[in-house]
Amino acid sequence: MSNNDGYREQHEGEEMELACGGPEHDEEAQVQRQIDAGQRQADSARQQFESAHQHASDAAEPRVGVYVCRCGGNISDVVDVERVAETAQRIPGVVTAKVHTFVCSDPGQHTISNDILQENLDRVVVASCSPFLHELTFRGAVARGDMNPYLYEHVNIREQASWAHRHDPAGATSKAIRLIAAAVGKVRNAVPLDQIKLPNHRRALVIGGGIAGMKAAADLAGRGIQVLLVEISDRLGGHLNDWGQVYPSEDSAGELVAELTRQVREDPSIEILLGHKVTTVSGFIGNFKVLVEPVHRTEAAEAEVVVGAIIMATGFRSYVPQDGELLYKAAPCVLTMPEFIQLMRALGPQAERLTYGDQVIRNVAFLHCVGSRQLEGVHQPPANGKLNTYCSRTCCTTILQQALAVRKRFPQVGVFDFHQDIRTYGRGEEDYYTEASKAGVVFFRHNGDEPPRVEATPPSRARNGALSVTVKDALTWGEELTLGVDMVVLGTGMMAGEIANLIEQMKLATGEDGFLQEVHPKLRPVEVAVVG
Amino acid sequence: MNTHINSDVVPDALIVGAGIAGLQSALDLADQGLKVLLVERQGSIGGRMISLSKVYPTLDCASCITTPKMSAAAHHPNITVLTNTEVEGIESAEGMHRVRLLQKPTYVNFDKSIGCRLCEYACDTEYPDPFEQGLGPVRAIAVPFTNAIPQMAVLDAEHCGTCGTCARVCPTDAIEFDQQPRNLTIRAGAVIVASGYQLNVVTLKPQYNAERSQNIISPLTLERLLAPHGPYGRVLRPSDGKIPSSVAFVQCAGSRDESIGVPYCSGVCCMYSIKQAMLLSGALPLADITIYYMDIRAFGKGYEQFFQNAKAMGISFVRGKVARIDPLEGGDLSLHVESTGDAENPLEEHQHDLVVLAQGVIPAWSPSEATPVACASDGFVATPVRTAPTVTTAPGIFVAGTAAGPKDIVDTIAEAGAAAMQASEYLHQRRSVVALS
Amino acid sequence: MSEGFVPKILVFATEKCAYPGADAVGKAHLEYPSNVYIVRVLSPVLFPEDFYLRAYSKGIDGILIAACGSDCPYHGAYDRLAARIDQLTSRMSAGGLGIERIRLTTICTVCIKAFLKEVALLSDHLNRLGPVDRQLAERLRCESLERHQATARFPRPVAAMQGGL
Repeated sequence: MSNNDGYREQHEGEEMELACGGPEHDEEAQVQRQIDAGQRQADSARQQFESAHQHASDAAEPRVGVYVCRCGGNISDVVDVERVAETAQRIPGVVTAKVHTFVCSDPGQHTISNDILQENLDRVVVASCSPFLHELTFRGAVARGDMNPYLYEHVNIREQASWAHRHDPAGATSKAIRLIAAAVGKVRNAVPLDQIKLPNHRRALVIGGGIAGMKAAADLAGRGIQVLLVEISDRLGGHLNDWGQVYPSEDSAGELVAELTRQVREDPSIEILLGHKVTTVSGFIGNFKVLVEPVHRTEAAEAEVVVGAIIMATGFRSYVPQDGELLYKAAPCVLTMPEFIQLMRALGPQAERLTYGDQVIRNVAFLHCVGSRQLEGVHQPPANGKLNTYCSRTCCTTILQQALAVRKRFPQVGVFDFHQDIRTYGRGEEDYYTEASKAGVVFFRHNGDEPPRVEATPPSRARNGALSVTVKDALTWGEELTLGVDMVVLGTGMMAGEIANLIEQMKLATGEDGFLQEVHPKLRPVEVAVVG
Repeated sequence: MNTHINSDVVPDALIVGAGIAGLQSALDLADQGLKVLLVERQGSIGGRMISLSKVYPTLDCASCITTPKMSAAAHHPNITVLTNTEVEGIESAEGMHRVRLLQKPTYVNFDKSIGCRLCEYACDTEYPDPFEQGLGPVRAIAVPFTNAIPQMAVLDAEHCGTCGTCARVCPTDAIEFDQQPRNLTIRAGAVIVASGYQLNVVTLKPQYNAERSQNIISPLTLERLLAPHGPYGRVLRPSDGKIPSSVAFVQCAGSRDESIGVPYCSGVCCMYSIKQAMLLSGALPLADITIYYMDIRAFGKGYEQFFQNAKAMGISFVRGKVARIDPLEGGDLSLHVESTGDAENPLEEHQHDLVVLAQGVIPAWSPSEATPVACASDGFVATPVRTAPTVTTAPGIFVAGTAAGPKDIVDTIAEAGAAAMQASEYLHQRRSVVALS
Repeated sequence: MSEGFVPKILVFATEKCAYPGADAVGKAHLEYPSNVYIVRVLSPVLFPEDFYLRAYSKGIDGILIAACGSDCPYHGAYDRLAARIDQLTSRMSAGGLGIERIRLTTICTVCIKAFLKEVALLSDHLNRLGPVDRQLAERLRCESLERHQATARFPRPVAAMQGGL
């Protein structure tokens, strides 16, 4: 019907040309090349189209199979699927129109591939949920019936009919019929297509040299794939470089970093560029052209590389409270969690007292959810104006780990924990809560919309500490309590990294929380919408 | 769908368990061109996810997102699926793993069967359907459930009335009453343990008196009640079919409790209870729904917002561990809670007509008994390598999903990808070594 | 305007942004009128002027082009699209076909409210304007096609001229 093979051979090289473009300085020649290539492609496409169209007009009436899904009630509760199938049967060209409870299921797909063979179908239309869920599934089913998968058309009668017109079943039903009729009309003109194969650069770019980036690089290299690992700072390991022990294994963070660093440095397949950043990205999966520049511009500046796939491992930023928020920067001895961890590390294993500068700390208050789980009207958003409504998922366990560490190393120091929930959900994490409680950490619980206040204690009452934490404590039935403490540690959460240029370059989607948005939050948690 | 294997075949990877973790690992490895044998002890692949109603926080239909993975695995040219097959043991030597399998008799010849289900329709022996958590009946010979893959009937010998009706009506003579269990040993280059979890039983905590009431149910039972193709098609109370008007969720019923031997948090119960509460409030708009909790652990992406939405929808959250449940005359239940609400009367009593106990997650299989894979003190597979969380104590054997500890679907899928990568790397390294030597 | 007139609205929604956005409306179980038909397209810049005019002549009363805007994965496509629609609207205006019948907007994958708003706005306009004058639309389409064939660098294949397309 179409001489696809000839087309592919002829134009494969040009596809590459169009995709990769040429050096920037020869723009006009490049544009002309693109136009010429485009012209040749258009001519060829036109020929192909005309011959196919001719052939289609000459050919016998197409035989279309239509499959209408009940989706277990999701569609059939609103759309009268039986009527839709009956009506579809009467559309010219439709040989069979069936209803099925779950067309995507194995038996449903089997019906399609079977019908193609038994009823000699040469076109298929499936009316079910969004094509983003099952278009590929059904293309597969069609291919198994030995039919070209591009002679298949998908109709969305769930997200865009039964779910969107729940109170208009008559309207949803006639819309479904119209959409199916349109799809039949379209698929009659469909031309079989073959997938074009392009060469693939078997090299990956990992952006970010923290623990995630290093692990990704090590795994890829272990699999025989060349890796370019680009890190903007001058060292590998990211945040872990600043931490003491990680939970729940209590392994040294520094040792973890050292181990992965050794793995990536020893592997000849991994090229590491420290102090570099990615400035431009173009191209497509298998053929991304990336410009990498040193952060501090020197003579031997940018390098252009071609990679087949890119992994974003750019990490997070620790939340930094606003000046004055919970007295941060407004009073000494109010620390963020990273600052507190630094303090604990600096004190060293021989220290007998918990000191901060000159001051001996007699009691510490840990506050959960600083910069996370923020509520409208209760919290101030950070500088970007957007509330961090999400949970940062690691702070609860970190706080309890640190609280327990204080109690163990400095048994004379009182530790107070102010939280709304204790989220020690992971493997081995509940133990921190149990142990912290046994070790004498005192817990206070507040409602999310009534977070604790931190104030300077009036000098007359500063016996226990210069800082006062006031909370409406749920564990004592809502009694308002004020504690004087020497030090307040803010359990600060995570925020998205500042990667605006990368997001722009790769057209990456970001979610409400500012972090990168994955394709599907359940099923495809590590892929982004840009393929590759 | 490729369901045959004989001992001569040496797959690159053998995956124990065809739930979402096993399916994802299988697909990742198969897409890399490696040959995978996927072994599942139940009659169908799909694990736990296929029996759920909706998943959190997206409220996607669980069936709708699981069937494409099941289908893709079943039809992948590089994947062979063995169902009704148990792993009896694994011995590893010199980088190869000898996996001893037991193929349980289905009493149906899968080559001859066309999946017409005439046997199922003709059979008149029924028993409580394990897929429907015992709420509805299933025939002694039946396809495990609507979306099962393979879509083949399996005869349950324990409940079979041996009347022979199914054999008589079968158009292709596929029923074989004399089928024997088949022992099979497969050598594989790598193994991934993806054997999943089960929930501990509702009768675990004696103070909850679950054995004395049909209206104290497990979350999987509620999933079936909520599922679009569930046993009743709607939410009804098991004891008398009444439409519930006051439902209680009791959190941490099977976790965070040393008295029942489960000190850890199961990670998913807060979220699944909130999800179920939201679905219930849609299904039973007039019902009161209360969640009794200790902490609400809505930690993942979109989870906190999901929790806030639930509160906004009018679901009550009462902070207080339920101490005791007393079944009352007529089927209702009385919950005794020490709540943090009222200073004067902290010991509260609440009456509900249906109670869901948020049971905890325990491993579905203990590999340490017959394989070189060791388990940790919490009963789940031990993962001793701090920079490689899918590596087990046995070289060349990896773990993914809830077999390595309670976790949600998102983390399971990410981990399955990691295990596949680790296995792929392992195979690649070994081959490079072999090639060089 | 006749009683019981139900305008037919055609929405061209881009594969990357607007179509998932329309899906999101359904997933949220929010509702809009059922006379809104959504067509999934890679990039509306591919369609010439006469394509839209043909829609009007064949029974559509209003068109919403829901594009990606600055998120467009095809370099420069959105600007070219905007320029084309600009041209189209001036020709529609000159020809007497209400320019409120066509609208170019940006819808992202989570732009649920924006989608509903656009649909509501267009519906309002159409309820006021009534059905399209099909003959007028057909005349404008033929004029547009002739112009294209005469001046375009890549004139359309002959088959298109025979009303087949």
